[in-house]
Amino acid sequence: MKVFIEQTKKEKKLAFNGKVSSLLNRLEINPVTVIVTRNKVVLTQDQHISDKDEIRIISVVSGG
Amino acid sequence: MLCSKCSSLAVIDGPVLCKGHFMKYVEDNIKHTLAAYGLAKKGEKIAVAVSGGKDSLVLLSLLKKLHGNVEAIAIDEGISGYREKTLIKAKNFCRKNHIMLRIYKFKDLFGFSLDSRVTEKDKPCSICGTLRRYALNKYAHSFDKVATGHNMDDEAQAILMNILRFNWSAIPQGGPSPGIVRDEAFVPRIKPLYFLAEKEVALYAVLTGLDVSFAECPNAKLSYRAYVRDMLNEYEFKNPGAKKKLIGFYLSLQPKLNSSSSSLPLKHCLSCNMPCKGDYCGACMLMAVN
Repeated sequence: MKVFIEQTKKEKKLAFNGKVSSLLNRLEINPVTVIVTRNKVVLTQDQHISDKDEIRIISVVSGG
Repeated sequence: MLCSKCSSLAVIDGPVLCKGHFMKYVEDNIKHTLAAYGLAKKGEKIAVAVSGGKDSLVLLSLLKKLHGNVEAIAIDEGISGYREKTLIKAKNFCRKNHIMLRIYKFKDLFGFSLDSRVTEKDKPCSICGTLRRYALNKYAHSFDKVATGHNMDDEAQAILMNILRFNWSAIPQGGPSPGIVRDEAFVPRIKPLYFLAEKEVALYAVLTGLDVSFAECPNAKLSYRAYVRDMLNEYEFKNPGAKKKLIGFYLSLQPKLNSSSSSLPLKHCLSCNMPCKGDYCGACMLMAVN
């Protein structure tokens, strides 16, 4: 699976099959702070994603 | 997960809504905030403070749609590698939507950029916030109100920061229509996104295809606010709805806080005549240090 982290503009490749919530847990990302998309479609925490997917994680946190 | 209002696929976990119902939820939320607090009355000319980030461009987009009489003001503090990129988003949005955008620079107003002013010992967000508020007030004097993109997360953080620092004098000044003292030199501020979570604002931007910046200011991670923000987000994850409860608790207390603060004397800065609490306003004191 390709995971593109929007905030850092970095891509990670990892083997993963499971729910969005599990992916975020594995990446140690708080779901409150991000939006997850697959092919520009927004995913909820319970949706299943697999190795073939290209996932984009957008951080919603800003400000100072 | 299916939308709680129809059988379409949901785009958000809480409230559980599909794209169509979520868009309506956001727009209804802002309409209600505008009406309930009298934020944008018919005929009022509103300056929207924009940066090119999601909050300010969602706000500008919705105020243009719901109120109409809006222009945009951007403050370029001079944060190298960051602000010039976000301002491109603001310029593109305003050009595409035929909205007047005026950009003002710290360097022109104060004689220095934020980058050149901040040293290792300084707290950049504190300096930036004070000078931005001053600049916005100065350049928005011909408008009836200034709208800012503060969302529920920003406001929950501010409440908690003021409590944890026992910053008593700042505590009553929150809410969608902040400020306890009226003076003709103050342009009233409004915060129409007050009851929307940061994630909801960001999702609205993504779903409407707004070309906005999601970059975080490089100075933000140095701030006390960032510490409180991360703490609150962790708490929100384990206790969904916590930020909303904090805001609600604050707003229910606010009338009592306002009445206890209404006797605070208002002075005018001896240097620039801007209303302030002491002899000099925050901006003039910072400039004197420089």
